[in-house]
Amino acid sequence: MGRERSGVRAVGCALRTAGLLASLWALSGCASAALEPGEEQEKVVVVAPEEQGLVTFDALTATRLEGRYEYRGETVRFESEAHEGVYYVTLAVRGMVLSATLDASGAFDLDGYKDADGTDTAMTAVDRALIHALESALTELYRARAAELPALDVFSRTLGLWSDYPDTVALRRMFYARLERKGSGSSLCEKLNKPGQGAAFVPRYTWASHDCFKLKGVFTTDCGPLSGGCAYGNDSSTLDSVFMSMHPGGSCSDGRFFGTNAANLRCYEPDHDSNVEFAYGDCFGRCGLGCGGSTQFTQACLDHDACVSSGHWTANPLSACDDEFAEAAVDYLVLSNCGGALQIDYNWSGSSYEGACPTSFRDANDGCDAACQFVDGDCFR
Amino acid sequence: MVLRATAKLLIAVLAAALLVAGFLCHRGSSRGGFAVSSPREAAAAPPIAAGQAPPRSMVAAGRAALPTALASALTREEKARLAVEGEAARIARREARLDQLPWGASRPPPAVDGDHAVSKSEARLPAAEKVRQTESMIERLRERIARAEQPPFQRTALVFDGSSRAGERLLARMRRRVAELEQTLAREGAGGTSESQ
Repeated sequence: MGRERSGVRAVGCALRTAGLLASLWALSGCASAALEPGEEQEKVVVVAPEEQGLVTFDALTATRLEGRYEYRGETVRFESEAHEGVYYVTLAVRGMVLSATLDASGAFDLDGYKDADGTDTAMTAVDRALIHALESALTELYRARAAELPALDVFSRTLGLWSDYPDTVALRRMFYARLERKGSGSSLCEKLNKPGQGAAFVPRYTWASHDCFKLKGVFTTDCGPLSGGCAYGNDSSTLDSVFMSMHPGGSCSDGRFFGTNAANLRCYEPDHDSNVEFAYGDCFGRCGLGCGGSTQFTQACLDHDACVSSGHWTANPLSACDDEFAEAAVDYLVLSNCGGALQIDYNWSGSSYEGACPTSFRDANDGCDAACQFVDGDCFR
Repeated sequence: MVLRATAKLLIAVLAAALLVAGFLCHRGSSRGGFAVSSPREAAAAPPIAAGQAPPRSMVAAGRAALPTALASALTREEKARLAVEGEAARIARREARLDQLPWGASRPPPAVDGDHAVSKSEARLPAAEKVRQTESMIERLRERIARAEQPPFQRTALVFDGSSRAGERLLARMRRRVAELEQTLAREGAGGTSESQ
């Protein structure tokens, strides 16, 4: 068993090394130089971390990318093009074609249909999982090169949007650009916890809420009949202290940690619990499903994440969070990145320390611990 | 002399009390205090007000308990090794969750009443602005269709499987989309506010 384990570790180590080398080659930029007429584009290969598939770019330039993603026996084909401030993205996934046309104003038009006969279809949980895996696979490439490759930037953001797309919202739809930057669409970059917050780390907390049809009683004003369920700002539909960061997720289904205070956080999904006010994990508040390359954090995206993590889910047939998604959608593609990528030194998710880290791990100045029942200040000094 | 003896007695009693208290604190108190024996118990422990010290957590049952003193003595290399062991479990759990999804299911029909979700910001958008953005989007789609139809860019519409059928379907959908948005424009220009599919 010991030999087997060390053998498995050796194989895993070799795979990770290969992945790192492949990723480094992709990040080196040597495959994306401007092409001369007749010159062929070199392929760029990205091995996703933690065995999440392989991305092959047949083209990767500032104005165009094209390729495929292979994972779990599925092949996703994609293309993204930038032309005079306008972007076109096309994705073929599991018998469906998704198309996005983005205007420079921030408005965009989406479509989705069955590849076999061109008729309408809907997004599914499987589609979202595969699209999110592709976005995750591109995280390191995105952070290294999105600023110089607009086609990649918009492509990854569009993946983030589709990875969060509800079953119950029509795939063929136009989303209008915001006129104002106030209210729910506001960027929350200043509330995002990032590395470099200083030796005396003080956590930044943010407030999130949603409305829905959940009734918690007859004679109550907290998610009660007078408001037709939970109103925006009700205690049971509000989290007072969301710790926004680029922390990865935990092992539970939605990957997020919740608790009644900052030291008893565990990975689970509360159902409109008025006692639960603290939350973090899986890039809570980011525009996109879980963590990915882009880092837009806005009130609308935070509210949507809170909605789908608090007793609802993206595929909820009652479509409780669809209006939150519609409000957040434009933020995925338009707003600037906040930054805030974390260097995780010890990811305890999946281990017996998840949600049960020794308290000595906290603020020990020995590297960033993730997936603990507390937030380690080492991640943000 | 009596006073001195009394003082000595009091000091002895105080020292003994301190020793007992130290012993009890080291062992840890019951659930109402700061020691818990498993993550599940940690989760079930009564909440602690903000500002109080967190409970001293210990490793889950089935694994040797790791005293806090030893945990704090772990080197970075030792912690890294322990953390890496969690990666395999993470991958396994992720794949197990994905295995539960219906990968073999056929493509579903479109969402019923898929336009019910209207964002508050869209509802606040002035009609004139909505008209302007719709006109612009129609123009973008026409440009995209034109690019896809020109010979140097035809492969844009044919990239997925190399057949012209896929490209033709994409072009047909874009043309349909232009027609739908033109209908929307006609309604919005006449005072309507919603887009009908």
